[in-house]
Amino acid sequence: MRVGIFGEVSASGLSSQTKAAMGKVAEMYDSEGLNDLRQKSNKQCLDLILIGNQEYENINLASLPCDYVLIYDNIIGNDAVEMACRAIEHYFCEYKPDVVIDAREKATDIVVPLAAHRMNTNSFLDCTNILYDEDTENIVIEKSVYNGNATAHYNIKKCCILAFRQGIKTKGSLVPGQPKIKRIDYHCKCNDAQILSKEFEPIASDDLVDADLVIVCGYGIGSKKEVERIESIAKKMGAAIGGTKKIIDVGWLPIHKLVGQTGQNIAPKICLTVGVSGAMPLINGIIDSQQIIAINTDKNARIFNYANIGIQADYGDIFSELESIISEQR
Amino acid sequence: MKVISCIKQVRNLDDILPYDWIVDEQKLGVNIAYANRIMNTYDEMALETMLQLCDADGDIESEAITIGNKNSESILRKALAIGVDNVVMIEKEPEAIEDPYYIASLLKAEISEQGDVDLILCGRQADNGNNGQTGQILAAMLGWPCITMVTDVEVQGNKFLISHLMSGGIEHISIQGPLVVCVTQLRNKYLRMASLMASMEAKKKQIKRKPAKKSAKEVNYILSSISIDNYENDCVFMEDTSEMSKAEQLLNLIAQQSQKGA
Repeated sequence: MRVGIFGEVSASGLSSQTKAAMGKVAEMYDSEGLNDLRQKSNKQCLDLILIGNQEYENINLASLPCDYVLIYDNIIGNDAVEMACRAIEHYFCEYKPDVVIDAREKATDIVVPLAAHRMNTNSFLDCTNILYDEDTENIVIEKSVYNGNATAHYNIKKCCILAFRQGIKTKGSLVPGQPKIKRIDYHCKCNDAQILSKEFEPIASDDLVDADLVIVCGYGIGSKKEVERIESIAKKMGAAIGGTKKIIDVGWLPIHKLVGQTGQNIAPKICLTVGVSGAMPLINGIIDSQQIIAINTDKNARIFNYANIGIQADYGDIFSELESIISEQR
Repeated sequence: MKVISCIKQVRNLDDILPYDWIVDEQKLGVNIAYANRIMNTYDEMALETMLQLCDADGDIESEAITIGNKNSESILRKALAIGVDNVVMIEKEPEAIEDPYYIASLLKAEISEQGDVDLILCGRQADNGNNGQTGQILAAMLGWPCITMVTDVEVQGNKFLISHLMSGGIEHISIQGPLVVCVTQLRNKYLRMASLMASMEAKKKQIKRKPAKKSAKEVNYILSSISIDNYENDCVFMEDTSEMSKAEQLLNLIAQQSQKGA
């Protein structure tokens, strides 16, 4: 079995996404079925592929946890998508891997389907795991479906191209190896004629993603006026405010405040939900919070199945009290 | 200038009760047939982006395309009601197509036939399959550039100014069409809603129906199983005291949790 990971490396080591992808493959290689296979035939190989002509002399490539480091340093130009696609195409044809993983951090969502289309194969984005199926002797890819309510397991019959979800965690241990380092003699120039100019505007990260305290409003709060009231109290508490899909649909909050599977996944220290019933797409977006506190009048509301602390009360009364306490403290 | 928005009808997963997330092992899926049919969230955002372009420039011809059957008409009627000029339905049972390569090939056949299209907007991903690839594959098939995570589009003469999210900021790209953009959450913007009068008018408008011209090609994978991840906490309820006391306890909890990570 041969796996190729297109990754990124700097003087401080492998990028976190590259490390995670290598860890996932290491976990797969350590699985029982593949261990047996390894003993029968020593055909297990992990390639780390690097694109671009950065100064690799300052980087310790010789101890990276893989079998080969393949460097495409003769692909030049200003079209990063095309450069990556050309490298993937060349590697795909020359090395005939069983799976190709794009673990770079930029534009993978464009490169993966585009390269797969050109290679007449299939592609997967946002994958959460890679496994080996002993029965079929195929690779199995896991990814979320139904907005994260379920996980689909795809059995891969022929080499495909995939990318893992950004920030994915892995338990696989990366043992430093003694990879063979090879500079690939493949030259091409990739320039984008359609792009006229580019300008990057750095922005302060979204308050919703970075906040320690997020108040998530559900349709149960009743009106846009109530959202505005909660927003003003939230400001005094130093909290960010988000909303469920229904709140966004009726226009009580702008779209970028959408929390949940189709919006933003948040992981604050405290997520306080008000008037939220607890639909799964929302739960998937808040489940990584350190603590979920839910306010709802109905003790049987689904949100309490997922909350750490429940407050069975009318949120309006609780917020009136919060407002008066905060005013007194000032 | 002609702009097309690709929209998809999906089941509203918010309608599914938590205990109904049960996998049908034979059909390799979850029975969500009782949920309401809605326009896919991101596609609705793409449609809104297209209509904002039309608001700014009256010469833009707008069109919405979907793949589906009679049941899918409602999202096209909605598109007409909120101001889209023309709607097209590529006739195919929507349940029969989940592979993004097949969906893109059907869209590509229709768009190539129409010709003279300057911009195609797709939603970032559909709620059911979560593949997030149709727009990119469509662009690859058309040989056009594609920009993902798009939050804003402006027409500037014969070129487009596209704003899209990247790690740490927003990149503004000035680009010549034709191109495909995949739209994500729009910052500080609201989705428009149809008035009753407009909805009534939309019922009288024509939907162009086109037969699906391509058949699905063989894929290199098999969906072998689906599993449901369940996570539940043992919720501790605050003691049944006054609202004042609950509010105080809540503020204490917030203070404690803030100190923990400090």
